[in-house]
Amino acid sequence: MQGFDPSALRQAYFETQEGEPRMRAIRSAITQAEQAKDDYARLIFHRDFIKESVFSGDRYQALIDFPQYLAIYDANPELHPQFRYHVLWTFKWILQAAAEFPQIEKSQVLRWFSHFRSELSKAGYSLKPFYNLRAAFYSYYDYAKFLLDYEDFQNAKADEMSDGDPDTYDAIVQYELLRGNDAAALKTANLIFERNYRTDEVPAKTYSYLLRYAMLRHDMETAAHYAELLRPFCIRKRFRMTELGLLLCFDAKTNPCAAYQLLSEHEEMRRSSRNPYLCFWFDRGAMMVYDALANRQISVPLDNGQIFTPEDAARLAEETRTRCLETAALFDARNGSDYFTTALDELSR
Amino acid sequence: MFHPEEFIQEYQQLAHGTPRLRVMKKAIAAADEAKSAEWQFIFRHRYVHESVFEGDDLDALIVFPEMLAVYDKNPELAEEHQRTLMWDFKNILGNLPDFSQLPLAEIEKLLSEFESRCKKYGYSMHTPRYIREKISVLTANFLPLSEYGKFAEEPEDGLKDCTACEASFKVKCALLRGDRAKAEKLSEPLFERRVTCAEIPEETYAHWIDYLREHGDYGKARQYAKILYPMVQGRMEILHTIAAILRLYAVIDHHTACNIFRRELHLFLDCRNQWKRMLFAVGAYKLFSRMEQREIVLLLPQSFPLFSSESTYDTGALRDYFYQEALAIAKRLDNRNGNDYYTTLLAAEDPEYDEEAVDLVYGYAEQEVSALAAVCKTLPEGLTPSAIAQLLESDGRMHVELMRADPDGNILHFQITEDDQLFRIGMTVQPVCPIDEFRPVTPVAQSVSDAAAEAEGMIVCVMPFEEIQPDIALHFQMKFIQLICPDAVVYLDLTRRKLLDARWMAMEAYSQVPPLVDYLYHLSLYGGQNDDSVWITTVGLRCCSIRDIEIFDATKENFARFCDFVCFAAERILLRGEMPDAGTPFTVLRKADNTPVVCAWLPVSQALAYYPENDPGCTISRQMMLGEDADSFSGNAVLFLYDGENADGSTRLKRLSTLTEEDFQQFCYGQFIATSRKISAWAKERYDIFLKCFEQHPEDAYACIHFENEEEDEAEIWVKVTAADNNRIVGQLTDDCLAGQAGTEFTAPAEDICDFSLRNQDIFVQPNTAYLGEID
Repeated sequence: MQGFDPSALRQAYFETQEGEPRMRAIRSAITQAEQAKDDYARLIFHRDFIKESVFSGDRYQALIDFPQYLAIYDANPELHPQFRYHVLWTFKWILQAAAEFPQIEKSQVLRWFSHFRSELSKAGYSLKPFYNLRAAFYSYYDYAKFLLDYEDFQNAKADEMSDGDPDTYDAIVQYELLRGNDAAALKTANLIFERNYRTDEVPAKTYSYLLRYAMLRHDMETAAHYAELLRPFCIRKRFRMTELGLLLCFDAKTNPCAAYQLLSEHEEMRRSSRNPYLCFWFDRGAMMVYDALANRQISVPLDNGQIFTPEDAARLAEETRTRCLETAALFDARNGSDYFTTALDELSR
Repeated sequence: MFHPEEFIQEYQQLAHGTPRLRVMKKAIAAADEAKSAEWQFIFRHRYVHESVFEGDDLDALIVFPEMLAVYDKNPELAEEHQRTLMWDFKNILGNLPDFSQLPLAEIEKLLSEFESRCKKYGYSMHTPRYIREKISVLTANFLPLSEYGKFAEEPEDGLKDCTACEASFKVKCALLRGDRAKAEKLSEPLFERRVTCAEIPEETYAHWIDYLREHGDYGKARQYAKILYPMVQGRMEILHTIAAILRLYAVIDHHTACNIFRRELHLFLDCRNQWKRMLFAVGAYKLFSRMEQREIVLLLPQSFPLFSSESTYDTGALRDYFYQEALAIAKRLDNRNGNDYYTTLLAAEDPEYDEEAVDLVYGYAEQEVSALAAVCKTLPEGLTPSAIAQLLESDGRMHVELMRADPDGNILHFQITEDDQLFRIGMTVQPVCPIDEFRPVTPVAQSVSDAAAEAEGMIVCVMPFEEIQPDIALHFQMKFIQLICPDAVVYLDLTRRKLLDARWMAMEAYSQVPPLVDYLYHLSLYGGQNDDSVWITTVGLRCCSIRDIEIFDATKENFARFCDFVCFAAERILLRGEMPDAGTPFTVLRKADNTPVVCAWLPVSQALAYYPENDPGCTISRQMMLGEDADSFSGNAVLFLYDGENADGSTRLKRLSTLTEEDFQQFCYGQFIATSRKISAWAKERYDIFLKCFEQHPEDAYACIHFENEEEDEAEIWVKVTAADNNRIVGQLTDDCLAGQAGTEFTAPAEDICDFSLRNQDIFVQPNTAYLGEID
């Protein structure tokens, strides 16, 4: 097609503001590539779109777009050597994101896992990332299969398709806590802390696992320690809404006024998010904050001179709980378990 | 109620193999009872996987048909478990030929079933063709050689073996065709570990060892066997690779072969995989049929049918036993396969191996034993095996597995374990040899020399290092002799011609830290009588299976420089555990501008070509000195500088005499991490001696501290100590460094000490010589 310049299009959209504006620009580039029947460019643009949605969006658009991306890849085997590596990494993001959207049927997620495994094997890569991601998915509904995949994850060789040490250790911390092996979890966590590992997720997620575990055991002193370590990583970070929700749960128990402050600072961020998974965990924390204010009859003076009363808190607690239950029901129905419904009150007791 | 996670949690706590299989069997029964189709399938899959990858495959063959039946009966399993089924099917097929009870027709039937399912499920013929090629090799019903490798022409899919496995099979195919060059090229990424998996490059090395042995290239085969054995020890699932090593050493090194046989026999006894058993039995048969001695002492499992409580075995009986074992299986396999491949394999002779021939290519050298002696003013009484065993047991660090005396009682033999490592050691008594022929490694008082001259005799302890890490082996030998003769006047390292102070030895015997690699060899220097040359040679590296290193270019002016150089080269080689092949470049050290100083070696016979009459280096004086003994040094490695490659690809070398004083000044020796770690460990271990010495001589005490700043930069910094106790060290920085400027006061936790040096008159007390701090 005359005038179709993929490089120029790419440069242009990378100069656009990240998030929705950039995704719109990439969409336009995809359309032009389709019209030009340029599958090579389509693969590049789709991948950029997915990446943008995963890292700067809500991820849902990535999940919608991914099947098209995969279809183009499958239809062009001559392009596999060039794109296989990128496709496989994209698969990893998708599989992680798929757990966050109950609209994606379990059977579809499992089919994606099978496809991912097949592509990894074909390319000669280790199945370590496959087992890791599937273990995480299984952890929501099938403990036995989680155990099997976790063992296979540990035994599989690491290669360039695997996560690096920081994220691998982080996963081990999470899984060992799930197995009730807090000694093994702590030993691995200490490796992360001693070596001062830093990635997008680490050590924020690591602190959050340990915080949750401490709270479940009613060890509030240890919980306080991890809460303070976690806090700086979360403030105004939209992909830290799960961790923020956990901090809200903690603050609700220890300092409801400060919890309300934290909640208020992030309300706008919560409202603008369309990721149900992140919203669920945040809302759970919000629910506990409102419950605490209501139950303890605490009034909070607002900046505008008004008072946020216990009655206001009780009303919002009820609304938030309803919203949480609905979301939990969606996830549990998709997964075939009661994980999310049970999680709602696990830290309230 | 059926809870699969309970079974999983139970077997995940257990060792692989039989313990896990037992629980998995229970899990299968429970899933069957609960009529949970998915878990009936999953647990059978886990069972098959465990048997194939951690066992001898037999259990997998029995259970797999059940797994197939569960799958076919429950179509809902297809979506999630089809791939698992096909992978297990593939793994099963690959092992079918190992069992003679399976007729070829049955194997063909299963292979056809597999092909049919591949077509049905949308897989390509890549894997079925690959399996067919492998089965043809295992059953010795070879395809036309040109057909091998053609599986790669079929499209790849998610069912293919991993890249490493397929690459290794291609190596096998190339070797079958006799295409060594191709096989070498294909092996490169595998041997360089760029492409690996659970059993590769182990299988690849085994293919090569068999090929090289069959073609009489024993040097290269040995080199590969040395690499392979540590990777495969104790692994039932690849017992055939151990068999390849055993078969090789049966020809070239009976001593090592016996060690491997002893260590791995338990796998043979437990293994029900006929093919793997047979190959091991062939190796053992070859070993005992080639041994000249009638009797052998071996510690073998009680379950061995020929077990002897005296640990003494008739080699003829062993030979016959393993021959019958191998023959029985070979015949069954041949009957099933319709050929005589395995009975021919059993009967095949290996190419001639000339034990006397000096292998001039490889860095590996025939191992010599290490001999230490304790010079005793009065020889200990009652040195019987049982008395010594009692002494060792009461010490608690060692356990005596076997002990005996020669018929004339002059030599005592022991097999002793410490920390699960078996050491074989012999002891005898000899007259004291002149100690002035030995170089003291630490200061020795004149009174020691006097006492040695009047000593009654010396207890000599001889021990091969075998495949044990040399510094650990030497450490054990030191512990042993010090325990037997704690009151020795002095100790002599007879192999390395060193004199070891009794107090140093006592400290070393009870240290957790093995000696520095410096102690594994000695540097001998011989000055030319009629010229300026100095011949430098290491002595003792052969105990570590490494050639001794010589320098032909030192002079009376620069020999000290070359001593440093060769010590650094030796240390590097020892820490790597291997010496490169002749002519292969290796970096010895770096200059101040970070450029590498690269060397290579040649055997003496080839090195001499670089030393003409008009510029002979030390070769003339060396020859005069050695006389008729020169031949025994012919296998030593003479160091050269690597000077790139010639146009034909051959290595270009130049003499070390091309190094100038300016070059030497640029050399950065530093310290290897392993050496630093040992010194650091000693510094901590002997900190109490440091404190005691500091108290007595505070004016000249220095400590090296491991320091880390807030930015996590690390350095080792020296301080002149002004105060020290159990918890901290206080001092002044000796140089500008990460911690501050010279002269700044500095405090550190005592646990951060990594070296120290205190001066007491002319004596320096350092971690390695801390015993000097205990002398008044």
